[in-house]
Amino acid sequence: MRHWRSLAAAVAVASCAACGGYTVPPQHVTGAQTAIAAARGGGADADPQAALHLKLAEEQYSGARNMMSKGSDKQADLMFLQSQADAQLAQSLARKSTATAETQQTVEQIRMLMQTSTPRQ
Amino acid sequence: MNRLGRSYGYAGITTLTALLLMGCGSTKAAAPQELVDARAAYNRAASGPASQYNPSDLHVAKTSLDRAEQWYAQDPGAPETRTQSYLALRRAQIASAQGETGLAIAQRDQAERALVQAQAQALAQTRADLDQARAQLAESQRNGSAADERAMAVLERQAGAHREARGEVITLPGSLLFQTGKSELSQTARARLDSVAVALKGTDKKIVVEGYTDDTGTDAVNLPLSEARASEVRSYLISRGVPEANIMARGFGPTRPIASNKTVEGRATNRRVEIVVPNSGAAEPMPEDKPQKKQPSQQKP
Repeated sequence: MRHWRSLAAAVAVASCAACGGYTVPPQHVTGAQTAIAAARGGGADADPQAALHLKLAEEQYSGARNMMSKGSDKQADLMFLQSQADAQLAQSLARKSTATAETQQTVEQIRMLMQTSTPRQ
Repeated sequence: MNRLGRSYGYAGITTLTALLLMGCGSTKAAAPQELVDARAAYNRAASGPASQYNPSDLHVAKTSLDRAEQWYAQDPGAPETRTQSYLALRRAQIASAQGETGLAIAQRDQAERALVQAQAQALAQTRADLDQARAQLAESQRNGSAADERAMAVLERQAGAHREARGEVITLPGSLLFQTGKSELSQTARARLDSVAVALKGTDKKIVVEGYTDDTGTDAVNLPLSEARASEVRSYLISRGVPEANIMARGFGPTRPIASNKTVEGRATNRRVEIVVPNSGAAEPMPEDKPQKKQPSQQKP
């Protein structure tokens, strides 16, 4: 999962003649920001898998910002897209964790109700 | 143009052709690991609950994977290829997670329906048990009422009680029970009260012992005297087995005369103790009730 770093390095090494004229689409930046905020607000921190991808998203976002400051907008754009994808995955994993926990809680309630019910003699 | 120009041209064409042939003959670059992972992740998602619960997310994942494959076909080593493969991997993983969420929600809804049903069954069972308990209580009360009726009959037969609107009343003349001005029971009184106690032990009703005097003397004397006599009778009945919680004593002094206080006989009649066993639902006897005159009961519910 961490080979995004090697991916980022490969992106940075490749020289692109057209890179000088490239501008990061603003919606890619805000898309990543929004997705990270949504993941955090959705409780991604509470689930280990979700927290991992949230952290990945934040690191990629920071890396993309760094790329932009150095003028590597094309590479930054790709990292923003990856950041958004990881944040969206973190949010999905958090939702899955919550739904699974609710299901288990309901099943437990049924089990307890069955235990306390006295059979008719 | 000239022989030199044609030579360079032929060399260039030859080189270019050789390069092309080299390109055709060489093996394609291996797919980046991200693309390999994306393909596997998509297959897992497609064979999991996503196809049923989140087909739209699965479609997005497929589109993303196709885009990555196109990039790989065009330029296997391009950074864009790796990025598109990375995105395809994430979207397949999102589709899987969403599918599993949909499955968990469906299972939760099913469990909630089962819980509601189980709660309804438990409630129905509780109601059935309650109905059964009520039926048993009603049966017990009916049996209790029959027992009360038998006790009242015994009171009338053995203790000389008479039935009034307020209930069964045993009137004990004061001269039988006490010496004038005294509240200690006589031997004759005790014997009479023994039979009364036997009859009263058969009922669970609340019994009231009421003490009365004639109008000779002051209320300051008569009220305490009547109360003391009622208490004496009560205490004796308790000592003979009547439950203490079921019997109380009250003194009314010269109030509620049942005869004229202008004659010796009348005053003797008014000096009495009454033991009242109320009817079911009847309130405690009211001061204005006049049992001997057969007035309709004005008791409040």
